[in-house]
Amino acid sequence: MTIVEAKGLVKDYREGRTDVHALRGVDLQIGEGEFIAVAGPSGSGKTTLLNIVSGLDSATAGEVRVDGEEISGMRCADLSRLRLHKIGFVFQSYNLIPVLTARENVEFTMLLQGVPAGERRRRAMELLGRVGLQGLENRRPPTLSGGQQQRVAVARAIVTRPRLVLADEPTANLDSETGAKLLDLMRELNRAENMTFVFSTHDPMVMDYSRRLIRLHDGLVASDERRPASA
Amino acid sequence: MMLLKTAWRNIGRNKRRSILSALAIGFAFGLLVFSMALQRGQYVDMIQNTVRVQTGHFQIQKEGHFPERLLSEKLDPAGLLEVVDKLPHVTGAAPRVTTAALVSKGEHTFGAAVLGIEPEREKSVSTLASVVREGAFLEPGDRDGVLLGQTLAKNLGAAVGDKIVFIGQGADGSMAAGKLIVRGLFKLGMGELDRSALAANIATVQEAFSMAGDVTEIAVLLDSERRRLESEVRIRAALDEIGRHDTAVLGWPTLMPGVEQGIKIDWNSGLIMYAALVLVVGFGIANTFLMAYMERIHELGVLLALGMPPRRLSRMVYLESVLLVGLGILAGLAGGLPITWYYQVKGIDFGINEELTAKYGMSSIIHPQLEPLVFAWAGGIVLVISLAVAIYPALKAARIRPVEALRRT
Repeated sequence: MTIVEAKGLVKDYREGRTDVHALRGVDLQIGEGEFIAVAGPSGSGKTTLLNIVSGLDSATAGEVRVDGEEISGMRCADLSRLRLHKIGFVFQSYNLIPVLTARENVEFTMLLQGVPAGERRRRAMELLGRVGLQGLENRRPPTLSGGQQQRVAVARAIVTRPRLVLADEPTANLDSETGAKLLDLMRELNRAENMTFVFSTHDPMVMDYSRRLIRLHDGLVASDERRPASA
Repeated sequence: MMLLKTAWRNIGRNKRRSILSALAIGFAFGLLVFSMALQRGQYVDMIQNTVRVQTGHFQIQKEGHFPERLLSEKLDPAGLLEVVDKLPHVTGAAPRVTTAALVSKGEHTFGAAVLGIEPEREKSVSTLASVVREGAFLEPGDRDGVLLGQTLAKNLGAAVGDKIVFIGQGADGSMAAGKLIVRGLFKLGMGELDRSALAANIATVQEAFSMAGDVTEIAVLLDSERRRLESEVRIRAALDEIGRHDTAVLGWPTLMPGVEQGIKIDWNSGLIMYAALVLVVGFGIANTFLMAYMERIHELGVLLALGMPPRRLSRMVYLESVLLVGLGILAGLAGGLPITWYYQVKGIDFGINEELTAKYGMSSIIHPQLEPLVFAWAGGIVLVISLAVAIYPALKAARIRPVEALRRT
């Protein structure tokens, strides 16, 4: 089943006095349960592509469907609802809410969904255990290491069981060992839950972990390579 | 609940700034409570002067006597004082005849406000007996004596022991005239009254002005202005019960509309000044609210990215401001209440010249009054202005574009 379908995506914007053509006509189909790395040098359009797919940004031209819904003309509130119920985010700089504990951060999206408090707490505790953060549930982000914070961010992204998890350079701020552990975790979730993961990265390790590698260059898909499941 | 918790913790992120903002709000609120309570205290003083010097808290008159105050519309007092005396909160009741006459001594003639009083009962209602500066107050059986306002006496050239004559028109249209001996001079501290008023025994005035035992009013004093409205209702019911449907019960605001109007004008202009003061504080608070918002645009963008609806985000930002304002008001209550209470009990002596305060019917010592109205207005002004200035960052939060916010560090 197709989760994301993009046709002829174009994104132009102006930065100072320069016209930037971030995407020049990208076609893309992402199926359920895929584990994809979108790679390319800085300025190739990776983050822009993820932003448009998630509805954080709008395309200059082209169409995007997420889980069957055309999002190009959606209102802000509808895009928020789409992200809340169908998309999980993992950011490069974790972006946890600093005044909330690890558990409360994980609970936050469930709170927005209206999940009852008891259920929220149970699921958050279970997931924090699964990402290896038992005993740290009541710590606030500034007291956690980078790797621990990114694990909380992963737990937050997947706790609502979204159809799609978008991770923007999730290992960029982590050492290689911590990065590898995090990728192991996400691949395990991908296999166990059939959750779809899309990473933007220029980390070779992330590319190695992926089962499909899409390379962008100057706003165009330069290559789209599928890899064996054992990779 | 978690949104509330998040908002609360966000306030604690920059403790010093939050404390300073709450203190600014608290100071404005406390200052308003104190100033308004002081103003209410002045009004209590003014009202007290009005009722003690002139009208009483309310009067019973013949229906139709007010506002023309014609002597022909006179009141038969039979049985009324017995009814009034029994009512709760009534501390005094005095029958009066008030009219006008020309008063002369030698070649000097002036217009005068004539007040016929029962000396003993008048003591329980007005301050007249206590403001006699020369001579003595009227004795109950003294049918020939008169008290003159000090200025009137001076204008007439009359002193204690002198004779004066008065001439006026009786209730039946006949000529009213008589000769009285000055027993004392009073100074009420109200220029007009001291310049024109004279007081004589009610029986003398009734006889001279063909009142046949009737009066123009019965002035009633209560133990507190706060009891006036309920007492008016109670006296009306009691009068109806004895079949005195010919009577009217009129409170001092009706009898002395100028005093009430003056209080209203002063209070309303005060409110404008207070609102302007809080608005100045409000701009300072607006800066805090805006700073707190600007510092967290990235984080707010993250919340939008996670799927928080823009309106909910806006509410959360607003909730933080509401909490801060609430904290400020609590601080203001904690500081302002005891101080105002202390002065309510002790009073503040402004050391104002006695002549001046008397002229305006005020006292030099003011007791602030912590009335519910004070809290309602002070709280209302601070809340409305603080929460109004908090709308702007909340609205801005709803309009954040997540992709731009996420680029901000």
